[in-house]
Amino acid sequence: MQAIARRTELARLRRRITDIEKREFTGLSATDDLACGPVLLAPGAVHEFRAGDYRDAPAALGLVLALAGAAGMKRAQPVIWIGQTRDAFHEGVPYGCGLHFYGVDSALCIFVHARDVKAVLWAAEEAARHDAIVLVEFWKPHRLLDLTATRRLQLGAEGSGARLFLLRDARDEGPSAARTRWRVAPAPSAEDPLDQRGLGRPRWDAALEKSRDGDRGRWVLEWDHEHRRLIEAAPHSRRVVSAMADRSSEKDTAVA
Amino acid sequence: MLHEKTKSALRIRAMDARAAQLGFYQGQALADARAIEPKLIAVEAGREEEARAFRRLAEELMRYSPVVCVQETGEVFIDITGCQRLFGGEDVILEDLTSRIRRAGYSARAAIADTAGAAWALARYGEEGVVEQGAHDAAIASLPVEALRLPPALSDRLRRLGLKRVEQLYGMPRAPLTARFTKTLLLRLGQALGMEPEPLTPISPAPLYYSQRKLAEPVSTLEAVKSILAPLAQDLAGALVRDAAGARRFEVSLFRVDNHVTRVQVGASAPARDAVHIMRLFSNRLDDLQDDYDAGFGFELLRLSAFEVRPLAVRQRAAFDLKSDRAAQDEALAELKDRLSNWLGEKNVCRMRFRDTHLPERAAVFTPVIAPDDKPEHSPGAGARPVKLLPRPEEIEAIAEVPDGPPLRFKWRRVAYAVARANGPERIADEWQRKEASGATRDYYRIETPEGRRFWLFREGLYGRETASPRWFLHGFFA
Repeated sequence: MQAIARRTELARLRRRITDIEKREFTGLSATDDLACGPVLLAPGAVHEFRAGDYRDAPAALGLVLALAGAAGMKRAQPVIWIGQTRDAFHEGVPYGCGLHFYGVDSALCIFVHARDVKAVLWAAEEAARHDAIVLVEFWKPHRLLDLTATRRLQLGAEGSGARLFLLRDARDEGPSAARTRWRVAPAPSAEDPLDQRGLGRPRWDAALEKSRDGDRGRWVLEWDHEHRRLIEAAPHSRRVVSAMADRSSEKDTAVA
Repeated sequence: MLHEKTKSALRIRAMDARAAQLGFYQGQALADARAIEPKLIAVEAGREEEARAFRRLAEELMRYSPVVCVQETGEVFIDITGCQRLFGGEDVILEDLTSRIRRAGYSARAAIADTAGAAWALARYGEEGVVEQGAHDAAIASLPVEALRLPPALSDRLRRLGLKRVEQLYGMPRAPLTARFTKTLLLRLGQALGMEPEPLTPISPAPLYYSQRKLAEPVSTLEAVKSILAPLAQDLAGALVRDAAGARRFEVSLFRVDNHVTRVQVGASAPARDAVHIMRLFSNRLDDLQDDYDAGFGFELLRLSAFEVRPLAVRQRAAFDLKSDRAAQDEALAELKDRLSNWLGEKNVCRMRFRDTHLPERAAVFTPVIAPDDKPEHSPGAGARPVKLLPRPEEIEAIAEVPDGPPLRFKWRRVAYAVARANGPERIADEWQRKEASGATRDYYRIETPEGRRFWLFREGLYGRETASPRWFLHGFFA
């Protein structure tokens, strides 16, 4: 059993290395597509993710990290994570040991602790002008984060090709110039075929509320950490038939 | 007059010129001195205070050269190699220095010579002034042997043997000298003559690279300071490029006319040398000075120094070259890190560092991007870990089905949650070798509520063995 596991793991790694090498040689990094469900998130833009309240904030953050991890599969971009220090005791601090699950390389991450809203916006604007994935946590509604401020972020990102993920409270009614606006809530995780009572792959209920391209929709998204991709979950969150028949297809998961 | 307690008596430690004229001497008992002159004003000496004041004075002397060394309170060595041109000659420096110290209310003796030892000898026992290059051995020849910075016992022995002047030692064979008077004598003699090296430890690390400008007309506005700094940055950048080096720390020292130094430091996450980048870093910081910015009667000397110099290859800009594109991106990222760090504070712009520990809150720590990477790096463990961690675990009320199982329900921040699914326990023992260790074992559970919220909880203490009623905590959030 152990030997098989090792062999599959080796095969998987080899595949990945070939993928990476292929990309290096052909300069495929131009294919900078990033899909959130069926919707493409354009580079060089601000994308807003809103969560119901502080308890749903980690879910929104997780979805954004999954997106960062998926984007990181294509090319290694720095991830710049900006937040306010004084919220740390209430909302917690980014935890390095949890990032690799989402395929985010912590070595590429920069964590910026800003004193106040003004500093957050300044840092976000500086970061947006860099070809990076920028995560801005902005959970407290504030008058400074208005149309002008978001437009400035959008302009900065347009120039550099950065994707700026703005995390906000859904109750924040402030206007925004973001390219897409999502509302995220946690969803019960997928079934773990090995452990019925345990947690499976994380899932989110993501609704595209606004988009400059006119798209709308609501999906349940699932993070496939094996292949580092965000997939649309099956409409049934729990499988009805016995897991037995599916063993072979779930082998990767079982091995890991 | 200053006195202090030595050998169980109050003795004179230092005095002014008038007291010296009256025949008092160092080490004399204060009681004896009082008997001779009852009107004596004596103050107790504070060694630490003295040292502090002297250090301040020494820092002000850094205007002459960045290499200023204090080995003993009351003595300062300044390495002015290469600085003469800036001031218009060695005699000008000497004159300027002594008059500056006198104006500050102290008396001073100073000499300039090829070696620190010779300069010391002349300042203490000989004639003040500048000794021509190569003439130092002749200049100290007629001085007493004490001028060689010898321990008193050693100079006493030399005197008893009739060796009273320095020149008497010049021609002596080395082996017998060492045999009879220990190595110290030869070392000191060699140092005075320039045959032995004398390492000097500067009060603040001497920069390998610096550029400075002495102004005929002092400047006081921030704009003027910046306009002078720009060419200095150019000079410095030029020197760094020439040597294929970059620096991680830069310092601007502004020397005020009235003996005051303002210093501003900026750090860089990666070795830097671009003049524009350096100026941009300082620009923010100088603007930030505001209240601390006090030009007084103006600044007369500006110095820009580079510290923590590291090799930095010269980048070739080739069009359509992917490699150089990557390098340009790295450089841009380094500049972004520097800008953020210097504006928000170095400790606020961090990367993750992983430590070799099982304790979750200690396993990953933030460490400034601007910091030397000398600590060993570990890789994060493979276990399931949350994306956000509470700096302090919060106690929750939990109800479990069995004492050593996951909870069924819990209450956190006054809101009740049901547990639909759970993984665990993952047992993490506290590290007994840690000083603040509580010693309690933690059993961690990943749990999910029916709505899909995912938390990281732990039970502290092994049921039955470590505690009768284990407490529950919420430590982190899974996405």
